[in-house]
Amino acid sequence: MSTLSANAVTPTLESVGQANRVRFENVGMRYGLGKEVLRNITFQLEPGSFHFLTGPSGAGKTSLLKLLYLAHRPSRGIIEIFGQDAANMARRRLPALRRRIGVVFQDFRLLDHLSALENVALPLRLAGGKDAQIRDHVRELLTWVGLADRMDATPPTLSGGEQQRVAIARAVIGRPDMLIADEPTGNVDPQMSRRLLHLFAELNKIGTTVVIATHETGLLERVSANILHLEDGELVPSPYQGGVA
Amino acid sequence: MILPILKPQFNILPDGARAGGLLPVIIAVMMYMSALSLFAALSLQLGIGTWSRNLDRSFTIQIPADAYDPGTLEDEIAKALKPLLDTTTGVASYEILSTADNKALLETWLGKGNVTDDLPVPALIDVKVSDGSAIDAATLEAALKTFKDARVDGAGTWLSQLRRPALALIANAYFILAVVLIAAVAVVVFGTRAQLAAHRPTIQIVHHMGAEDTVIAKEFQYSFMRLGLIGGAAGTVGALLTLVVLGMTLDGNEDGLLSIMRSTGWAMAAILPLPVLAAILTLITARMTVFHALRQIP
Repeated sequence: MSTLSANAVTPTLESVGQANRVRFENVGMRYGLGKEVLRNITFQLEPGSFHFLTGPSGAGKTSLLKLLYLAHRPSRGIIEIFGQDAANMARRRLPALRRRIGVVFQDFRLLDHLSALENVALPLRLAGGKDAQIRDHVRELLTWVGLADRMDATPPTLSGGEQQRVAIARAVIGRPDMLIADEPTGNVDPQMSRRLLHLFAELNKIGTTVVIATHETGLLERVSANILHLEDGELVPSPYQGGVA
Repeated sequence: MILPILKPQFNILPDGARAGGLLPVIIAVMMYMSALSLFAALSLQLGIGTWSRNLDRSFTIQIPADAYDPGTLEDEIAKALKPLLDTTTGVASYEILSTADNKALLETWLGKGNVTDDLPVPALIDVKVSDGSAIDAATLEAALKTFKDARVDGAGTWLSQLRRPALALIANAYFILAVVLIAAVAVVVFGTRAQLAAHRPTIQIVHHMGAEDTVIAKEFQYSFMRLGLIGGAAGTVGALLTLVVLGMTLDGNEDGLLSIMRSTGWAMAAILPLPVLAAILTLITARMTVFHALRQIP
């Protein structure tokens, strides 16, 4: 019987890094037969890195985020998400990959008929979590984001800021390998904004790759992060930082 | 009891937003028509089989009225016809119909009292064929030719003429059944698509959160299956009631093709599983429709 060396059974730090890496190479994207909204996008997100995605309206930020959270396929180029070829991956394999990504949508996209607690619990349920554990985790997180007394409220009865916090809680509850947030602090007061940014930073510390699309230049000053700056569908050096990550 | 595997796992769709409305009524009507078509096809199939088997077991020998003398017919038959019939394989028994029997047969067509003594009535000999035997009417007729121009009147010729329209009726009934089932599938497809369209944003959210297609399909298939079961049960009960009423109105009028459709317990039993079939059909259709729709979402 053959024996295996330690290196063969224990993944190295480098191999783990590659496994959780996100890589775009010469990516182009178009909707239908229209012109390309993203062109020659090339970048790499190392595991546990923190990134801001900036750019004027219509620059292609939302399209780039869609590629990142696997809601769209590129029209050309290579996309590797967590080391896997997401551009050409079989459809049936995508859900498992999506469950490793948390997304905060700009318009929140909460399910109106579910309570705040049930909305936040949804990713854990989809991942097959146990009911009792799910409830404990969700209560703890909702309390942390200041919604302890609003857990049973449905989204239509919550304010914009409260809905945003529920959306963020839903995105982070499953400790995703990558968190994508589109204008996550747009509807909250400065104090809550700082608190949420702290939450993202904490998640980032435990290994989650964070990508935040924002217009708020104030956020860029508060966290040391790489900046991906889009102009007219192309990545260009950021005016807020020395260069493109 | 519904298998837990078919039940929705999450409340992705709001209560009351799942399939409902007039859909169960439409499915009930479809299943009502399916039940009647299936019953018609099966009962005709079973009835024609039984009927032709019974008719194949007897035939009639006719002797023209001007070819025999009623007073001596029995003796002549005993001398000339009996040896022939006794040696013919498959003949179980035979009986010469009396004048009174002949009159009664004719009165069915001509009316009571209209059969007078001067009416030329052929002599009839009713021959029974033993079980599992078949007699070639043409060969027997050739052998009988020397006996007073006797003619063999078997059921085969006109039965084959009757079989053709009966088979056409059966084929039509099955065709109607297929058309109704296709229409039922189309209704479920439309219903599922309407539900998918109404809840498209919600479905997109859970899809992008990593919900498997089967998880989303379960949210729809279960409610459609319930509708199929309820509609199927209502349609089948309605069809059974119709058949019971039809059976009661046919009581005492057992002649002709309609009689074939009576006393067909097997055909009645065959429509009983229709609600289950409707449930399975709606479940599979809804599931396939959801899968197809989800494939359109990147």
